Parts: sequence; C-alpha cells; structure tokens
Amino acid sequence: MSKRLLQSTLREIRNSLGRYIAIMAIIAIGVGFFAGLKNTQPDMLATIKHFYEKTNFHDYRLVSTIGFDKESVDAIAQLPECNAACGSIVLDALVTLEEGRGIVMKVHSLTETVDALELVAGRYPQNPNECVLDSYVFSDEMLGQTIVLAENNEEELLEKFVYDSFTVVGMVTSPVYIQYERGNTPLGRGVVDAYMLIPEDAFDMDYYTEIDVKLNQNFELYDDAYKNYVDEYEETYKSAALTLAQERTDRFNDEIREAKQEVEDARTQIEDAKAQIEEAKKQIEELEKTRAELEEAAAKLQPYLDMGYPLPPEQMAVFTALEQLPETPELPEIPELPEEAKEVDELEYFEEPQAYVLGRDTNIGYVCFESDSGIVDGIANVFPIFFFAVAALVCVTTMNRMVEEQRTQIGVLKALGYGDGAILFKYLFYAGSAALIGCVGGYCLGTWMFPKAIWYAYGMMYNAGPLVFVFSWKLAVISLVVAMLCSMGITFLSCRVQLTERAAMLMRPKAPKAGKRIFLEYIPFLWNHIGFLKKVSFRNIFRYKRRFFMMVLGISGCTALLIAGFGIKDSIAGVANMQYDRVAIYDMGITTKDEVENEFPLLQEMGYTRDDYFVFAENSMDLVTEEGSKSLYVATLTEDKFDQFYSLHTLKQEPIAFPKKGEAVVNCRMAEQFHLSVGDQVILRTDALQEIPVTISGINENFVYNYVYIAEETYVDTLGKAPQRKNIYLKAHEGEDVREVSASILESEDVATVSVNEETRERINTMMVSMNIIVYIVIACAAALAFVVLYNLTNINITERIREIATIKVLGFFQRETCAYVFRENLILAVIGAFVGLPLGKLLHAFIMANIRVDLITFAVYVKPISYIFAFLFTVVFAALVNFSMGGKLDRVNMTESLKSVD
Amino acid sequence: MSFVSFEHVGKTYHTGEVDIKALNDVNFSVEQGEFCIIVGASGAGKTTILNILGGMDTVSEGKVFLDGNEISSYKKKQLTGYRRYDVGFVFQFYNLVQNLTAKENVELAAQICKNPLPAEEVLKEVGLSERMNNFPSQLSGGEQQRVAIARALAKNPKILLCDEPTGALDYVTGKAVLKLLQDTCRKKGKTVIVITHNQALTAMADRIITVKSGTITDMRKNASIVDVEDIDW
Repeated sequence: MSKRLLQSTLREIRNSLGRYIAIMAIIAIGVGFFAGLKNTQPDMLATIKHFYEKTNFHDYRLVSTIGFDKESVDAIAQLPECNAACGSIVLDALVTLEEGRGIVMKVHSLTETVDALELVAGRYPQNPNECVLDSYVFSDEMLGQTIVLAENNEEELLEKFVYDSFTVVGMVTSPVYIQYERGNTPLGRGVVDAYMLIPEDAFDMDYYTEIDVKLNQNFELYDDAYKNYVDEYEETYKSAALTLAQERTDRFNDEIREAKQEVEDARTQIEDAKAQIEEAKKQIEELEKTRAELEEAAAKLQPYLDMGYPLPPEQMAVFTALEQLPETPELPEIPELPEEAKEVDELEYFEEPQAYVLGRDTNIGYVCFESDSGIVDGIANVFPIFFFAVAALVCVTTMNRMVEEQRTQIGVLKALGYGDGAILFKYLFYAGSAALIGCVGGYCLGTWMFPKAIWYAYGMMYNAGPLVFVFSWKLAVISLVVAMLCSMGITFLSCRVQLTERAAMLMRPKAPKAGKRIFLEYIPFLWNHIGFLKKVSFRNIFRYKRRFFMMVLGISGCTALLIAGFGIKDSIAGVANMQYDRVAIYDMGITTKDEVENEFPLLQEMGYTRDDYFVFAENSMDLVTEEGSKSLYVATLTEDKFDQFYSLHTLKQEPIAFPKKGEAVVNCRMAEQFHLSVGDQVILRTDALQEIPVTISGINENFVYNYVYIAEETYVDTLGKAPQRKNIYLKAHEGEDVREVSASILESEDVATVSVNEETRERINTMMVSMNIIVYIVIACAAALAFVVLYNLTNINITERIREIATIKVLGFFQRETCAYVFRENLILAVIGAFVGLPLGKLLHAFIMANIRVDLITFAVYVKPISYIFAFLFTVVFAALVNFSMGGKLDRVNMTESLKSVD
Repeated sequence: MSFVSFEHVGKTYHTGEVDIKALNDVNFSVEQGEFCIIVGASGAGKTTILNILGGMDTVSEGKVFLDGNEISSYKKKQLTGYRRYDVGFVFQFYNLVQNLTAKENVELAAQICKNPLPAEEVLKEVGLSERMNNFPSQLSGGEQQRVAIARALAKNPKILLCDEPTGALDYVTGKAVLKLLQDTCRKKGKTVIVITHNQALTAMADRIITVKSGTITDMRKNASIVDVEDIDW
C-alpha cells in the first residue's frame, strides 16, 4: 500500500468521522453488551468464591441436640479430609442499641480458622467485652457504641454470657451471611435482624453449640464435583458427630444416674432410720407403761410405808423395780432429704441425641446466590446475539453506502493501476480499524461496567466485598472474531461487487434509483386522501428496501429489548404477587415436630379453630417421568377444604378438581419441563424407593417450589400406611400481625419451622429493587442501540439525498418543512419498527424467561400491557430525539450542492 | 429603480486561512420582463451572482435589490421566504425528485406558494401533458428540463433563474428548452436570467452581462435580438 493511499484512508476517516464513529459505536455496543453480560456471572461467582476461600467458609456445620464438648473439636479435626474444625457458640438474643432500639441479634463466638471474617472497619476484639458487628446492617457510626443484652431475655440465656454489654470495636462481613437474610428465631417478631461476634471467653458456657468444618479441597461454586465431594464425606462426619453427641449424652446421663443413685441411697438410709426409731418408740411406750403401772402400785403402797407398816418383800420389790427402770431415752431427729434431692428427682435423662451435618446448601446466602446469579446468565445468553445482529446490519448498510459513494474513486484508483488488494485494503482498514477500536473499547468498558453495575444492584442483597474481575480469553477472542466478521467481512463482500466492475464503468455515475409506484397507489381511496408530501415519504419508505428492513429491524430490536427489559421485571414481580394473591392464600406454613392427629393444641390455645388451619403431609419425593426425574414436594391431602388455603387452578385460572384416588395434580413448571399433560402416567418415588404410580389429573399454577398433590387414599393404597401429617397451613385472623403470630408459634417446642408468605413476598420485592437497575441498563442499551441505528440511517439517508434536500431548500422549503420532508419517513419507519417490535419483544421475553432457570421459582412469562405501551413510546421518543439532533445536519446542507453535477 | 440591481456587490469566501474573492464591486441592473444572459468563463463568478440573486448565498459587501426589496439585508428565514415566493430556479441537472412523477414534482413547488399556477396547465404549456404521470427516470433529458422549468413556473415567481439550462442537453433539445424560456419571457412577461458560458447564446437576450474574474466587464442592451431557432453554436 502506498503512502498516499494510506494518507487518503486516514483523511477519509477524518472527513467522515461521524460514520467512522457510528461503526465504532455499534461494534462497541455489541461487544460491550456481549462480553459485559457474559462476564457478569463468572465475575460474581469468582467474587463469592474468592470471599469463601479467603474466609474459609465451612463445608459442614455439625450440630447436635445436646451440643459438643470442647474436646470434641479435636476428634472431628482428626477425620479424613478435614482441613480445619472450629467449635463455635451461636445464640439468639434480644439486644438494645445505644439509640434505644431493641433488635434480635445472632451472637456468634469468634472463630479463627473456619468462617473467618473480613474486617471492614475498626479492629478485632482484644477484650472479652468487645464485639464486632454486622457491616451489612450497621454503618461505621456504630464503632465505639455499646450493645446491651436486653433484660427481658430469659434468665437462662443471660446466664450464658459473662458480660451484659459489649463495646463495638469493628465492622465485619461473615461468609455465613453473604445475603441479607439473617434467619428466623423464636424471639421478638420472629426474624433475626443482624449478627455480632464476641470472644469465646465472653460466653459462660463449657460446650460448643456447633462445630464448623472446612475440608481440604476447594472447587468451583455449585460445581457437581463439589456436591459429590461433600456427599462422599457427609456420612463420616455425621456418624462422628453422632458418636460425640452420644458420648456427651451418655456422660450426662451417667452423672444423672449417679446423682439419682445417691439420692436413692440416702432415702433408703432415712427409711431404715425411721424404722429403727419406730421400734425404739414402741419400746419406750412399753417402758412408760411399766413405769406408770409401777408408779401407780408404788403410790398405793407409799402411805403404808409412811405409817411405818412393814411391807412384805414382794411388795417392796415394786420400789426396787421402779428404781431399776431405765431412764426414758431421747429419740434422735429423723434427717430430712435435702432440697437438691427433689431437683435430682425431677432430673430427666437426656433423650437419644440427634446430630446433623448441614452443608453449604443449607446456607441461605449460598443457595440464593446460585439462582440469583443465574438470572444474569439467562439474560446474557440472548440479548447480545441481538446486538450483534443489528451491529452487522449497521455495518453492512454503512460500508455498502461508503463503497457506493466512492465508486468513482475506486474507478480512478483502478485506472491509475492500483491492484484490487490495495483498494480493498483501504476499505478493510477503514472498517477494521473502527471495529478494532470499538471492540477493544467495548470489551473493556462492557466487562467493567456491566458486572460493576449489576454487582452494585446485587449489593442490596449480597455483602461479600468488592467485585473480582475475571478475564476470559475465550470471550475476548469470540468478541474480536465476531466484531471483525461484522465489519471487515461485510466490507470485503461489498467491495468485491464494485471491484469486479471495470474502471471505466465505475467512473460513470450510477443512475439514481428510479421512482416507482407503490402498492398503496392502487388503492385510490387511501392514496387520494394522503397528503402530497406524505406520498413522497411513503414512496421513499418502499423505495429503499434494504434501508427499510434495516431500520425496521433496528427499531424493532430496540422496542423488543425494552419490552424484554420491562417484562423481566413484570415477570419476577408478578411471581410474588400472583403466588400470594391467588395461589397460596394461606398466611404461613408450619412444620411440626410430631405428627398432628387432628387438632394442633397450640393453635387451639391461640384461639384458632379447625377452620383456620389445614393439616396435611408434605414429603420430598422424586417425580419420575419418561423424560427424567426431579426431586419435589408431594403434598398428601385428606380434606377437600384445601381450596380455602391453596387454590388449585390452571394457568388459565380454571379450577382443578381435588385429585381422586390414583390421581395427581402437578405444577406447571414440572409439566413444562417434562412435557406432561393431563392423563399422563408418572411415578412418585419416596426416599425409601417405594413407588406410587399416578395419573395426572391437572396442571396447576404454582410459582414457588415444585409440588405434586395427591389424595391420602392414593398414598395409603400403594404404601399401606398414611404419611405423617406434620404440615399446617394457617390463616391468621383478620387484623393480626402475621409476624408476631409466627414468632409466638415458633416459640413452641412442638414447632420445627414457620414460614410466613408475606416475608417471602417481601424478599422477592427486595430483589425487584436490584432488578430495576438491570432494567435501567437494558433501557440505556436499547436507547444506545436505537440512537446508533437511527443516526446511521438518517446519516445515510441525508448523504444519499443531499441533492434532493438542497433542491427543496432552493425551492424555498422552510427548515421545519425540510425536516418534516426528510424525517417523516424516519418516524413512520420508527413507528412501523416499534409495532414489529411488540410481538418480537414478546418472543424475546419468552425466550429469555425460558433461559432464566431458577430451580425453586417458576417465573410467570408475563408482560404487563403498560410495559408494551412504554416500550413503544420510548422507541418513538428515541427516534424523535435522534431526528431532532440531526436537524442541524440538515441545516448545514449547502444549497449549492443542487448546482453540482451528479457524481 | 431597476427590477433587479446589484450595487457594489462583493463576495469573499473564507476557506481556512485563504480568502478567495469571488466577486468584486459588481454593479448591474435588469429591467422587468427582460431576458438577460450572464455570460462568462467557468470560475468567473457568474454562479456566485446567481446564488446571491437566488437567495442561496449572502453578500460580503454591497446591496442587492429585487423589485424594490433589499434582499441582501434578509435574514435566513426571510431568504427562505424570498426563494419560496419570488424566485423560480432551473438547474443544469434538472434536480427532479426521483420518486415523484412529473406532475408531482411540479406540485412539490406549487403547493408551498401563495398563488401557484395549476400544475397540469403549466405542464401542458411546456408540452408535457401526455407525460405528466411519468417518473423522471422515464423521461428524456429535455423532458426532464421542461418539468424543471414547469416546476419553476408553477410557483408563479417574480424572476426565473436558470443555471446553464442547456448544459446537460444535446443541441436540438437545448434549443427547444431555450425557446421555451424565451417564449415564457415574451408571452408572460417574466424576467428571466440565464447563466451560461456559451457566448453564442447571447444573441437571443435582451440584455447581455459579461463577467470576468469576479467583476462585470460589460453590460449592454442587445440591439439585434435573434430568435433561438436562428442561433447556431
């Protein structure tokens, strides 16, 4: 390539900077969107993984019903694959903040190796009466303040602490709480508000409530390899934990037994003593009796003696006997059993202990993060393709136009003897350099901005430190290849066509595109009623087919993106409201510890009647179909008043009959996933691998979790016994605070868990706030897309018609009229595009929603009508804005252009 | 006062650091109803004169009057109005809107005027009554130029400005177009100003203005007006 040709190319770029930048911008948007969104989930996962590894997040939490001896930790540390084991104490307590507010706090003991913390501000405690605090809930202003254990805590709980107040010295983030939820509690209004950590010495306890274990290996988050790894060792740890708990229980029970034995022995001694005393008492009575008789006799004889009568010796013997009688002995006190003995009597032996191994999959943050980050990936799979398609189209039109404009120049270059390669190079360089800059810029900006913005959005729910950026070579290479194909590949094709023509041909002007009648003109009724200038617009619209399609595609893409953006929000917001407004109409679900016969005494005591709650059995089973199986919940129902608590209806809102014997109702998500329809046969398989064959009698609307509903007869018929009824749906009375109700229910020993629907709804609504930011990003991108497409097309439109525009200006069209003349067709195209975008948006949205697979929640594929209207209006407004901003360009069209020859 | 008059008009173009003086102290006048030809070599400044007179460009110095109005003092919007109501323009390359039919091209201009002539009538006058509904691409060059003239006439302007109207046409067709312009001037009394580099055409004009290097070197009334048919070039 000659120096002058290069110079000409560089000047070309400078002179047509608008066009150059348009190519750059569209490639940057395409690449930025693709790489940015694609990188977001890996970045988010890397961030959490990094955080977990840095803080040594536990793989197992061992808990037992009796706690663990402090020595037990060493035993656990000896188990295979154990990297570190840490005993810790976790208690719920009511605390009072300096500002006077009372909240429920989860109080942990500080651990060093497992579940370490990240210090956000301040320092770690140096004295046992210092604490570090939840940095997600509290701001740094809390440093130096005092947290007081509330007096209304139970005495038993307060005794477990050495101090009754703690000074805040640091703010921390714990891997146990990466998400905003802090868990449930029987205290207060039922929800833990925050957590704090204090030194172990601050607890007046000689045992741990749990042992946290970190295994040797680290894996990718949510990887199957990790699941297999932790599954492999779970049994080992469980049995070890159980053994330790058993030993502890046995030791306690032995101690109790000894104490009881001692009391028993003491009691026997006391009984013996009592018997002896009784004996002695009898003897004493005898003695007293004899003494009385003798004294009586002596009393009778005494006067004779006094008078000096001699008495016979046998009578004198009375006196002797009296004198010889022993003194009445003092009886000893019977010792009473000490008070403590009663307590010992009341001591109950510890029940057989239970021990559990709770993996990461029981940590709310860990579990929710998988599904929440999955949403991003679902979006990332669809949107970028769209952007690339439009980018390619913009490049096609722009480069085609450019090559066409420069026919003559190409001809001259050919005539001067430049080879095809050199000429081609000029245009490839033009498009390629624009694309390269756009690609690099878009990649950098996209992979920085999108993850950052989305992570910021997730920051409202997650707290795990700053985002970790990962660089993916694969993604970078794909971006570059696609960008280059879109720009240079297309330029190459456009140039080929021109280069095959002979130089002489090229130097002759190409005939302007001929005017043509359009179909509308054959409908005189319509055509004759259209204003004259509008006729021009209509003809123009249909005159340039490629421009028409590109414009419609670009604009419809913009509308579709907006609809999808709004729709994602609608669908997710819709889930919570639809689920709790029309499906799960009960207030809270309660799981009891023991089987409930008919009435649940606790609820009766609280003033609820049998009409306010519904008792059933819920079991985890596998749904086995021809296309695979899936673990879900099976609700076994006995009564048909079920519909007052839970509405069984189809997606079309038609009621479904209560399942009869051998029938089952499955929720829509399962039906969709396994392509099930009414009348299909499926099998429900229990944990014990027993099978219940059922026929599907209905497919119901249900968005949260996956359920199958069967009648109890079905269960009894195949398995021979009824399932344990441990689940209750409760409807609180009108005007009651469901949270307070749930807190007081949770306080009962008979209740295992309570989940309040209102809380789930709020949780989803919190998620919506962060979804808003994603929606804003989508809107911004759609606007950028619309702008680039419209700008580019308008630009082409103006340069192609520059003589026409100059002419009408000479004819005396005012600026407003000139704008209307040129832009009317743009607006008409924008409106057509927006209309086409409506169904396209619906499809795109459905496609994205199908890609967003979150295990536990089924999203309603649903776009509100208002969202369609907004998307449509936004598009038209974008188009109008672009046209408005292009007005200046029209103004600058020089009228002397009209005098120039056609070139 | 003359119908058209240029008084000490100068025009300087600024391109970068170079000033190009396109017109320097141009003075001339044209009377109402005259057929005037401005002749000069390319680059002499005749197109600049036309641009200024047509309201497409402004003067750097001096004054321009048309029908008693000082158009050199007009602002942008007034200039547009001036082009709209007072001037009819015929271009060298016709500049028809490709996707409008002949009639529609005429209407395009007519519909923005106050007292337009009916498009069909004007097209009939230029001899195109048969081809009204054809698109420009279906017309020959001469026919296209006639449409352009019809478009200019339909506006019923005070003055008709023609920039090399025969430049893109062959000899015979060119003659026919000139004839049409001359007839328009004679029969309708329109003031017509034609710009050309062709000295031979001056024979048909009432007034001949010669431009050279940005100034008027000669302005004279044509004593022996020759009919178009009798001119050869």
